[in-house]
Amino acid sequence: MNTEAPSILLRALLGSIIAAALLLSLSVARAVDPTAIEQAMADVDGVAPTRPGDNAKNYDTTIYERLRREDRTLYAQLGGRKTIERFVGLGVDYSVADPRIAHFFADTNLPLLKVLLVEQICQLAGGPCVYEGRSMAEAHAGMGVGENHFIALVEAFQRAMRETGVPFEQENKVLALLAPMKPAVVQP
Amino acid sequence: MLRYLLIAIVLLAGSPPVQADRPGSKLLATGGVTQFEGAAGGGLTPWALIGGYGTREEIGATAFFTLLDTDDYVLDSHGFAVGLYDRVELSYARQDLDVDRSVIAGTAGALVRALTPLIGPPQNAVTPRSTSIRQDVYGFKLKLFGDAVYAQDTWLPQVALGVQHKRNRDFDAGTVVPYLGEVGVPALLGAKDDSGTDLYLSATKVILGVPAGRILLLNGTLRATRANAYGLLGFGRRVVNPLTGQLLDEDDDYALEVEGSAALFLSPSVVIGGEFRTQSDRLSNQPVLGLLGAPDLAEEDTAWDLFIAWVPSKRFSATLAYVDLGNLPFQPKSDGWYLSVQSAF
Repeated sequence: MNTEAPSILLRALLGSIIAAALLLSLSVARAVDPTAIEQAMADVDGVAPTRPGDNAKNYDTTIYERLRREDRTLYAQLGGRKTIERFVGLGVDYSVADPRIAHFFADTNLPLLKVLLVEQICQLAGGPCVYEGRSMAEAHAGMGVGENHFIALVEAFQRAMRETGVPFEQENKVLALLAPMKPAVVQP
Repeated sequence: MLRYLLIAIVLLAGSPPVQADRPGSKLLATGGVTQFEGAAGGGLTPWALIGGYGTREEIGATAFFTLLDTDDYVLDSHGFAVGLYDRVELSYARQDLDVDRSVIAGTAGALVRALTPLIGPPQNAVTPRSTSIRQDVYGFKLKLFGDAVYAQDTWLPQVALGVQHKRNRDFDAGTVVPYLGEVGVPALLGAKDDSGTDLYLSATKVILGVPAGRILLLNGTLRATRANAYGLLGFGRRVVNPLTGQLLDEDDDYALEVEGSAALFLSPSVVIGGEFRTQSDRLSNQPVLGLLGAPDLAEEDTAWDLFIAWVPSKRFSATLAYVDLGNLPFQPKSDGWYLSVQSAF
């Protein structure tokens, strides 16, 4: 009877050590850079690996970004995250209220959409954010978004920026960053 | 009649009770205004933008009325255009050029001075009167490729191919001069035909955020034409001795004209800019006019303008410009004010 108790204890101890070791190894594995594995997978099925923030835009740079000679990022000019949160919040609200495009938002998690849009615009404007949502093409696939709908959203955001006091000069740069997404959002 | 109807339509369309989904979904001012020959563009020159506010899914229409006053020549141009699915544009413009009596008097005087020593004084005294040269312009434009406003990640412009078929209604009649009786100003100046078709290619690019956060629009147009003074002085060249009927020279070739525009948005609804448009100068060095002492009476210069456009809403826009058309017969410097209003439906 006395010999069984210590073996149970020993087994329990061994079991917990093994379990702990397993958990530790798993967490270490997650912290390891997965690029090598992804690269190997890519070589197999030809799918390009995406890095964090890659989904924020479907293009390289805008004309104004290539031409500009500015000291501050657009993010800094806008006044940082707070300003973006303000006009994104209002822009989404106006979009949802626009009878032309309201139906697209019927099943949308609006607070989540606002967070994602803020991350996206923050990143595009040179801010310290990484957009981790889906790509524009993925996010809008099969939705039947027309050119008229896309522009309706642009107008909602213009209105939102004007009402939150974003100057014309900054508004146009925000538009320049969002405009090239049109081919990814609008169904062909 | 059409002129007054169009003015009324243009002014009324600016008023509130219009359908909620009209005039269309395009962003404000992205249909351009209407150039004086009826195509969507600037004031002088067509752009690659399809007129109206209709997007890819929609049809939009515009009506315009333009007045250009250069003293001896006052041009009234009015018409309408329909934009189909942001791909095709159909337009019609009616032009009415009022030619001051001083131009006719100048022509009559030159004829009398030159011909009296040769064949004696004219038989009947003719009182010079002002006259009108009218022209119809039928336009078709096809967007070939590109997205002027939204493709901000590339320098590739929006490109469109256009056609403007012009019919001059007062080619060989409309005014009376000594010796020759009833003539038309275009034929008198040596033009060959009363109609012609222009072919043009336009490339337009909008740059958002440039310069310094504003919006810049650039356009270049290449035009193949046989028109003299946009067709108002006929098409082609055919110089005939009016007394003997002998053909002196002829030119039926197309010439290439270059047009350019630059526009800057100072605010969402105020745009300033400038344009230029070269002309073929087909009627200069004209031998019969030379006999009258003015071989380059119908010489053509490059026309240019500076404009300011106000686009308060999608329904209405107004453009004020200073235009210099260069030489017109008996008015070597033909410059003046230009006012255009446009409505969209």
